[in-house]
Order: sequence, then structure tokens, then C-alpha cells
Amino acid sequence: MGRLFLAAFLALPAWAGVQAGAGLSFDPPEVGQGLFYGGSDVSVTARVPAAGGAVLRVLGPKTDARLMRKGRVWGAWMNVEPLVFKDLPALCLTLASRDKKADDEAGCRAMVRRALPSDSRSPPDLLFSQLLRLKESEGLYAATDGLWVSAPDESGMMSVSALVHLPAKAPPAAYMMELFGRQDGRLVLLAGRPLEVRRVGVPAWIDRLSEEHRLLHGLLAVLVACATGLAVGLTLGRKAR
Amino acid sequence: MGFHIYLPVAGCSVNIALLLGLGGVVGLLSGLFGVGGGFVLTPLLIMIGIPPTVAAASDSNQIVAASASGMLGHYRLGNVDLKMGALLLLGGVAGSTLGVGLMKLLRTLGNADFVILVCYVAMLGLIGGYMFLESLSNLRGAPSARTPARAEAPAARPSVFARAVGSLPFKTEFPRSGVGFSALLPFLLGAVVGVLAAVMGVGGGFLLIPVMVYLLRMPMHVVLGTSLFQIFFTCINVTVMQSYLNRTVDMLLALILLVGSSVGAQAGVRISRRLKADQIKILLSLIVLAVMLCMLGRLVLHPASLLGYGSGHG
Repeated sequence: MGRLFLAAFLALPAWAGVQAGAGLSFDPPEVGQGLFYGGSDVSVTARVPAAGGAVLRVLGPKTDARLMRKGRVWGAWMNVEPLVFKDLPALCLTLASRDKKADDEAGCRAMVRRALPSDSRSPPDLLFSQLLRLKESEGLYAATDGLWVSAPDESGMMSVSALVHLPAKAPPAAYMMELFGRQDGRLVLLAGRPLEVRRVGVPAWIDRLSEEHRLLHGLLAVLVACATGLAVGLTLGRKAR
Repeated sequence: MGFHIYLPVAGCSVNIALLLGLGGVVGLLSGLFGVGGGFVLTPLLIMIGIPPTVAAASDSNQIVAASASGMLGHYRLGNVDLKMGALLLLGGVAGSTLGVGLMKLLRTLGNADFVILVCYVAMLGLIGGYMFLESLSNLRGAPSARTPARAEAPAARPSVFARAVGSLPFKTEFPRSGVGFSALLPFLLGAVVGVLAAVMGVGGGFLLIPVMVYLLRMPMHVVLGTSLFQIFFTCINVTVMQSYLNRTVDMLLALILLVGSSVGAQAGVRISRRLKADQIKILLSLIVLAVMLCMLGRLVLHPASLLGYGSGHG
């Protein structure tokens, strides 16, 4: 298994050698988190050199995740230990053409293992399993076998397609879509391209305002609430009369 | 997939029908029982996955909207004791500012959500338990501890509370309410309500109204107008402070809840005309106790994952 991890990561520098977006296309080409956004299904298609099976990996930006470990104090569960997981991907989804174990090979679990804090009082295996459980419950980490691969044609190429579900909790960022093929028992990068997820419309405007002009955002929230409250009161008051 | 709305500050997406329904249920309770409903709304929002800190702060924003027209109506009718209201408000602003600062500190320590849950379990347990026992005893025909006859019965000698109030400095008259006592009393009451508004996202009517009626002996119509005056301005302060210091106010969430609660409140008023007071009370107490048990479950049952977000954000 360790060799497979290593193989997957050794394949990553091949990124540079892969033509950006070669043979990989998305529909929609980018995801906008608008007012009525509830997650998004992205259709991914590719035409790549034939390989014995394939794995599609969707990887979010790596950041230091600050989490808390819960512990029992006087019978109640409360946060007892702050933890920092270094370079943890915000999202990691793998879709394999054969079996879900591709998750291991494409490195999501390996990335989680490497992100574990070294100075924690908790056993690493516990942190590993609990972190996966948390991320899986949010739909941010998943390993499925939902990748469809065609038989190779005369030119030695194969078609690949998948429907990737991006959960609503996926933060706005550039997500790397990477397609790996299996050659000589190891995974090699066949194609890769970033997918942009960004907030648009009203949510983008509110997000910017609440982050960059907090006081103004608070005052606006009050003004909107007062205006709405008075309008609703007048309308329903008249109806009641 | 349903019709969702994306809440940028909460960082999640929620079904609009579910939010409107929650607002409607809380509005229905408000219309049925004459309560603000904030103490039920925040726990319900937490249960559907809104981070507790965002749920509490956005609930305060929703209360601003919900209390705006009521406060204006009472003010026009002359039901607001401005002197009392100003003192309550001074305390409310001080308490809510303190409460928002406390939330900021708790968020830094990573236990803001835990404190919100504990406060709710304690408050809902006390209120629900008291209401349930009182209405049960009324339904059985026993005299209530709070029947008007007993509440207004002349006391042989002043109670401990009356003597304590009498000994407080800064005595002042409140002509609109026809009462007189220390100015510290409404200030302190406002401060307690302000802290609760900041920490739990409640308006505080459930505390203000009984204290003003039973302890301060103010007339009911002035109590309603003055408590709305205090709740309105305290929640404005909480909204602005939470937005500025903690970035936890989601105005989209507040707006949708308001629409649902306005419609629900109208239905609640109509239904309440067909029910008896004690039936209404026992129903409310059961709802409050059910919500309390859900909150208690989150505190004591083994969590799905032993890891979580300290500030409540995903």
C-alpha cells in the first residue's frame, strides 16, 4: 500500500508535463454559488490514452485546518483540545472506474495522515478516523466508484465520464480535477484542470460586505430588518382589520 | 434537491421551505402563546445545521424586524414608558455589549457553541418545567401560584424583595407606569436581558414581562409597550455588535425566518381563540421541554465525530 501512495505522489510532478486541460472538460465550466445554490453536479468528460482503469480526483485547496477535539467533562461533550491539521485539503473526492479503494491510491487518506498534528495528546489513529468521519459527514471527503470508462478505440484512446457532486459546504476556491490512469500497476496523471467555484450575486455581495465592512453590514442588517418588519406589519395589519 | 437558499455567512445551504416552515412554526407559537419565540427559534436553527453562533446572532436580527411594527404601534398608543425604557435600554446596551464580548472570548477558546447549548438547556428546562407544573395544577383545579387574586393580595408586611428594592439608592418615579423605585432596578434587569440576547439570541420578553408585571407592578399595557421598546433597541445593538465583532449575522437567514413567522403568527392568533388558556400553556410547555431534550441530547450523547469546529463554522 505504501508503494502505491508513493507512486501516486510521484505521479503528481507529472502535472507539469500534462497539457492544462488536455482532454478534460466540465459542464458547467465553473460553479457559481448564487442565491439559490444547494450544491452542484458537474459533468466531467475526458478522452485520454487508454489505461487499465482510471481514477478522477477532485482536490480542494490545502490550508491549516483549526479544529477542536471533543471530550467528556461532567457528563457533557465539550471542546477540550485545539488541534491544527497542516495542509489539509478542504475537499477530496475520488471516483474510480473499478473499486473505491482508489481513494487510498489517489492519496486522499495519505494527505489526511500527513496533516495529523504531531503534538496532540490523542492517538493519531483516533484523529485520523474522526477527521475522516467529520469530513465525510459534510460530504467534503468521499470515495466512490462512479467513474465510467469506455473500451479503447482503434487509436488507443478511451472516453471517461463522471458526475461529480460538489456539496454546498465546499468553500469558494479553485478545485483541481485530476484524472489518473493505471499503467503497469501504478497510477499516472493523464489530465488535469482547475475548476473554479466562486460566490456570485447576492451571496458574494453580502459575503464581501460582512467581511470588509462589518459595521456597515450590521447597520444594513438592522435597516433591512426594520423596513421588512414595518412593511410586513402594515400589510398583515391591514388584512387583519 | 429542492429549492435551496445559500447563506453566505453561515456558509451552508438550506431548503427555503424548511426555513419558512421553521419561521412559520415559531410565528404560530408567537401568535398562540404571545411569546417572542426567539428561545425556540435558535435551538431549531441549530438542529437543522446552522452554526449556533450564527443562529443566535441572526435570530437577534430577526427579532429587530419582528418587534419593529409592534413597538411603533405601542408607542403611538402611548404604551411606552420612555423613562423606564431608557433605563432598561441603557442596561440592555451595556449587557449586550458585554455579552457580545463574552461570545468573542468563548469563540476564541472554542466553546461558544457549548455555552449556548448549556444556557438553552437550563433556560428551556426551567421555563418548560415551571409552565408544565403550573398548567397541570390549574387543569386539576388547584389554585395557581400566580393567580391574580393572590398576586394582588395585600401583604401583611413587605416581602424580602420589596425591602431589598426599597433599600436601593437612586429612587425615581415612573409616572407613566405609576410606580417608583431605584433606577438601578430597570438598569440591572436590562443588563441581564442584554447578556441573554447576545449569548442566546433571545429578545428576553419571557424574563422582562413577568418581572415587570409581578415584581415591578407595572400596568400590563405599559409592560408590553416598554418591553418591546427595550427588546427592539437591545437587539439592534446585538445585531450591529455581532456583525462587527464576530461576523455572525446572516441577514438572508433573518429575512426568510421573518416572512415565515409573520404568516405563522396570524394563524396562531386565530387558533388561540379556539383554545383554553391552560390548554395553550400546557401545549407550549411540552414544546419547550421537547426542544430542551433535543438540546440536552446534543450535549450528553456521543457525537458523530469527536472533532468539530471551535467557532461553529464549517
